[in-house]
Amino acid sequence: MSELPCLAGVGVDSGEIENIAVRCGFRTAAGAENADIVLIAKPDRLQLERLLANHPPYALLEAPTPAKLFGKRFKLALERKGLFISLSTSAAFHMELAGLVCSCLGRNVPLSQDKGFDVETALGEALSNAMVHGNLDVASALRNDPADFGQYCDLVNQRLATPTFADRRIEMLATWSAKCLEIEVHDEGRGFDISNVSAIPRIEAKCGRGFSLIRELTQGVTLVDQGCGLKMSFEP
Amino acid sequence: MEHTVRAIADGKEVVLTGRLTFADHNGFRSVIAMFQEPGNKRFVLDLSGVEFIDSAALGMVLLARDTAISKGVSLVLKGARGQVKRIMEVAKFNKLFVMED
Repeated sequence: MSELPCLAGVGVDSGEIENIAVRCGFRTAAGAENADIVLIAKPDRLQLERLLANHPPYALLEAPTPAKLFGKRFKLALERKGLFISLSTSAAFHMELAGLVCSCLGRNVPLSQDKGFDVETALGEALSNAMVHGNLDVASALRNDPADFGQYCDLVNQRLATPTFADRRIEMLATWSAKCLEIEVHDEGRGFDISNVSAIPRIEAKCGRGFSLIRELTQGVTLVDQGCGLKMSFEP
Repeated sequence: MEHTVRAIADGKEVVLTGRLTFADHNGFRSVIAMFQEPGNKRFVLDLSGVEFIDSAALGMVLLARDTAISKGVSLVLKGARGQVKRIMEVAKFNKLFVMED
């Protein structure tokens, strides 16, 4: 980027925005609609939808923003004019993020309707794995039997209310060219073990379908960061 | 996900709308609880208002099926379209459910 990237805040103290701008070498923007980077406090779905109606922003970060957020994936999003989102699990959980991101991608990457379904489905699976199994550390095995389902629901609700789990970040980076769309999803959990994934899930399996679906719907998928990250590629 | 319920002959029809995902565990818990109520022979899940489903929600629909089977209730999936239809085809749900248009 030839000019310094432009930073704005939504619901974030202007002194804090000023500090980050000075520390990281950004300019500050008058409003979020003109910014390359938006910091947002306590984001809700409507706010995110409104922000994602335009592109840029290339990065949407939930405040508070520790320095590590402005790392490799953040820089790639700015360099390649992609989209980087970092949210707490509690904020992202009910946000229907896959749909929001895909509406934004649909306006920037030419995708057929079927390809759009595939991207949204695969991204949804990656995000739900990262949030439920990664950050909230809830095993999908509890969804195998109706008798355990109540326990599964209670555990998810309880972890969403516990900051050590709920504050863990979920990160999504999308970059694209005419030939390829790449999406990465990262969590702060213990890491996904691919050896537990059966190649073909049984028709009646209640869990373990997510990764197989991703494999089926993407043109390439790799686990990175000891299983805390998933990279998917799609040919539009 | 939102759901509304209406009585039909021999049972209930549950109309689901919006997006059915991992985040709807609490909503599904109430739907599955309804399957356990006595006096029903037939349940219909109307999916025509559902725009998106993920694998966790497919799993929850299968839990509803297990519950229905254990109670001797038949379960019909009605009106799947778009992405929902596509994913249910990939998951071969036609082998497990009566699917109506």
